[in-house]
Amino acid sequence: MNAIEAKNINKTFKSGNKSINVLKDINLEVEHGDFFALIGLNGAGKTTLIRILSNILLPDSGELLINGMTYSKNERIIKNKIGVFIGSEHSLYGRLTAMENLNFFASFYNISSKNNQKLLKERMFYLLKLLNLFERKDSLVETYSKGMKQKLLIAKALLHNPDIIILDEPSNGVDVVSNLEIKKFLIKVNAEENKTIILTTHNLTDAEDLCNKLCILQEGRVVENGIFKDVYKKYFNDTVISILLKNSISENKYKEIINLKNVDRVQYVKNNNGYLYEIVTKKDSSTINIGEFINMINMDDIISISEKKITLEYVISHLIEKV
Amino acid sequence: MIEMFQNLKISFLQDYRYRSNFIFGMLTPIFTIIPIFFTVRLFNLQREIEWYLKGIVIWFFISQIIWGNGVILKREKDRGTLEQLLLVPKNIIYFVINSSIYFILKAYVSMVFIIFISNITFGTQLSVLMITYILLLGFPFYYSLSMLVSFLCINVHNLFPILQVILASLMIFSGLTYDISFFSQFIYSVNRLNSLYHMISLARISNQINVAIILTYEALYLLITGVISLILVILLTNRYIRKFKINGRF
Repeated sequence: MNAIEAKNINKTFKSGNKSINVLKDINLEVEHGDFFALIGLNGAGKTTLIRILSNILLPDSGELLINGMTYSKNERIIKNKIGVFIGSEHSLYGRLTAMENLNFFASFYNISSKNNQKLLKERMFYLLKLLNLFERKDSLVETYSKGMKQKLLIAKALLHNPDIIILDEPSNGVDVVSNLEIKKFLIKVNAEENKTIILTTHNLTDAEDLCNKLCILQEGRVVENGIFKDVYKKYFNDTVISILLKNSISENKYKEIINLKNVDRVQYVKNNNGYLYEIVTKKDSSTINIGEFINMINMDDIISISEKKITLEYVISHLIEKV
Repeated sequence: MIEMFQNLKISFLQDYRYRSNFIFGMLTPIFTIIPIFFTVRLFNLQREIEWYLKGIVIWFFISQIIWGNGVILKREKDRGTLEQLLLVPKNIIYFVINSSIYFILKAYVSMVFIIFISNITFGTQLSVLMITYILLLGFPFYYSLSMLVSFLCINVHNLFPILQVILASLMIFSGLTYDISFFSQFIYSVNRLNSLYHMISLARISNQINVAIILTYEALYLLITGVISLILVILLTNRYIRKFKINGRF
């Protein structure tokens, strides 16, 4: 049984006379213990999908199973099993302290009964310590920085010790140090407590550092879905050599380079320092004869040569071009 | 039970930490008493002061609850915390009910204070217990009204005029401070459908607490309409939340 299973999820919003199809036939499978990244440009449908997964929104059609259960029949049980981070710095009560905020939200879960008070307090302290908020636990939240508020919202989402954690851009607007603390915290929670985490982010480095699986959304459709490494291999089982030249390559030289063994294509990329060309090898052929290539152009023209590292940013820009 | 106290404490702290709101809120009973003192002889020549005060006290209590409850969800939406409340396992009605307990207690304390001051200032003999009994009988009706206002006002940008209209209508058509019999026969007959009118009438005909009041026509009418409106409001609320989940906005 998967942690989350979405089948043919569709969602349309009405704006005046127009209907905007935000999600189109979304199919998703998240296994227990996965660290899953939902990636896409603004307006791709990530937040809408997160809201549907959290039952803030209802899909127009399709089936959503959380731990094999549907919201329509088991809303309370599911909501006690998932922790959701949605919102911003304004999603907390500024005139209450961190502890008062956590106590307030805890009262809506099954954890705040008289017998659980000690356990609840321990859980609060544990989370606040992990997120480096313990020292400020009795300060009013309105005196917190944005990063601290984001961390407190994460603590709030994890208060009831959920099995599945859904986070909508937790590092949005957060400084480097707070972002690093959040990342460390999420890695610990995923690795040590075996929590399933679903994360949307615009920070692709975060997604690469944290997640083992990804789903790329583009205009409401899933354009790629699977294990990170497999996706990289699928699209970029080739090598990219970047070469920066003082002068541009003539058309004849261009044709000669393309005819070289294993070269698939040569693409020109705008660059302020000179003429940047990316030479892409054919699929399943990881090498090109660089010496043969250098012989073809004037050595004095070369400013730099490097092998380009494939990043998620590169994958996404490639996928978006394709779409 | 522990959750209820937790919510009560949080509601108090939030109110208390907005000092100006809290202080002026607590001063409301005094602001209510002062105009009564000046106007009671002007508009109520032929009536006893007790007759007038019963209406004022009940109106004060109901308006406090409607005013307090009316802004609960709107305030959460404006703060940005409403979404967080939709993420939790318990229904949002649970939150509204828990939050309103604070307003009820606050209104009750203020009301007792008004009665106490009135008894000293005007020499009236209003019984707190009797008024409480009447307020309890009418509770399902005006409480469901306040819940309805709370949900209807979520999207209203300026709540103040809306609440003013609602409270003014209650004031005019419930006979809170004057006898409605001077309206035309038609309006008078229609007004008899108004549960609040029966509540006020009940308060005026009873001087001592008497359990048998519950068997009067007014009390039964009040209770039945109250329970029906409470059920309707709960159904309507669930429908409203579902509508939000479909449209993404209230």
